[in-house]
Amino acid sequence: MAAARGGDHLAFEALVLKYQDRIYRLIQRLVSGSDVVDDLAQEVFIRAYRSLGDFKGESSLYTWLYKIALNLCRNHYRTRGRRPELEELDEADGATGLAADGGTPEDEVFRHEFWEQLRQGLDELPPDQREAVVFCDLEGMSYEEMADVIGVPIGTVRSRIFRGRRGLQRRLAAFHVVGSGTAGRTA
Amino acid sequence: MSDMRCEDYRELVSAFVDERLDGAELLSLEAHIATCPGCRAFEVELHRFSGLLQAAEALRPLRRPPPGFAAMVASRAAAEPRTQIIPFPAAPAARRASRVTWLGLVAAAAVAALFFAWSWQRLLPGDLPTQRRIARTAAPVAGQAVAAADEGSMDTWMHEHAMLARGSTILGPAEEIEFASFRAGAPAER
Repeated sequence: MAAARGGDHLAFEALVLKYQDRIYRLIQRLVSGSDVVDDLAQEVFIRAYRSLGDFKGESSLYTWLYKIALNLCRNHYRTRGRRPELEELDEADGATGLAADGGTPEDEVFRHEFWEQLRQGLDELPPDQREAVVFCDLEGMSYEEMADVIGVPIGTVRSRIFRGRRGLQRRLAAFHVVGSGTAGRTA
Repeated sequence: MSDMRCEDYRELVSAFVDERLDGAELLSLEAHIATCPGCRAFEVELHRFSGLLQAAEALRPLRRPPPGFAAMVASRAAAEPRTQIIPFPAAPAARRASRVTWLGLVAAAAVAALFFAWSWQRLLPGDLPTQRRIARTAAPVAGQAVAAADEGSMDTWMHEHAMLARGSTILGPAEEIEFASFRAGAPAER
């Protein structure tokens, strides 16, 4: 890190190598459309490089990179409006296939269907709820890390996760995949 | 927490699923779930839903960076201007050089200010207190005149005073006549 900050490009390359998978994954979860992933990922690291001198080490390097990625993704979906449709990816494109887990063809169809509905459900969520669900349920971040990356209090993080999950459950319930989460009384 | 609605408790359920609930909130939720089948069902659903999300996402076809991505980004970074990553504070030698330059500028500004005040007092019409009053009010205007005169948008007499403010006393013949006219009490006619 210190070497990269001092302008050592090999050290910076090592830093990119270490974090590139996570950044690629996060961007795809936040913005879908694979046509912009390469550009956004590059921009994350270039912006990080420009600001290495400002990194004070108060948060971990990966949450700092996530902040940069989140800001770029937000700019992206502000300029694009709704998130674009995700095109199908094939194995040659570097994707891991749905059949990786094995199982019967029926299992694969179910997984694919669920995943497709999940993606649509995420797309339809308001951005703040989508970000909360992605960071918490898909990225496995702690509430504290999320509060740091998103820049809101932990109480807000908790509330957004709840609303995001609820919205997603309702959308998926329409496809009869999972329950609606609205059973019982709502006094 | 007795006035909480099921909707409020379900937010607690969401935090409970993440193991982020403790103390009074946890006790309150447990007490509520014991008597509310709807919220109990919601907790079971949310646990299941969370598991499904993670399982589905683990199999999602996500792209990986293309080969050579890191090297390409690093080479793009290498083309970035170095000034943005120079460590702060600057090296001692650079600081000394910067201080010398700064002191020189301050000294030059002081000399220019003294010359400017002396020029106004010598050149302006009227008695000494009047000259001083004019000099006090004209000083900020003269500063602005330097910039404006460069754009050719000021009257000639202001331009000449701007030149004086800059320490220049070199006037052309026509400018000298106009300036003499100003010293006599009025700007020259155009």
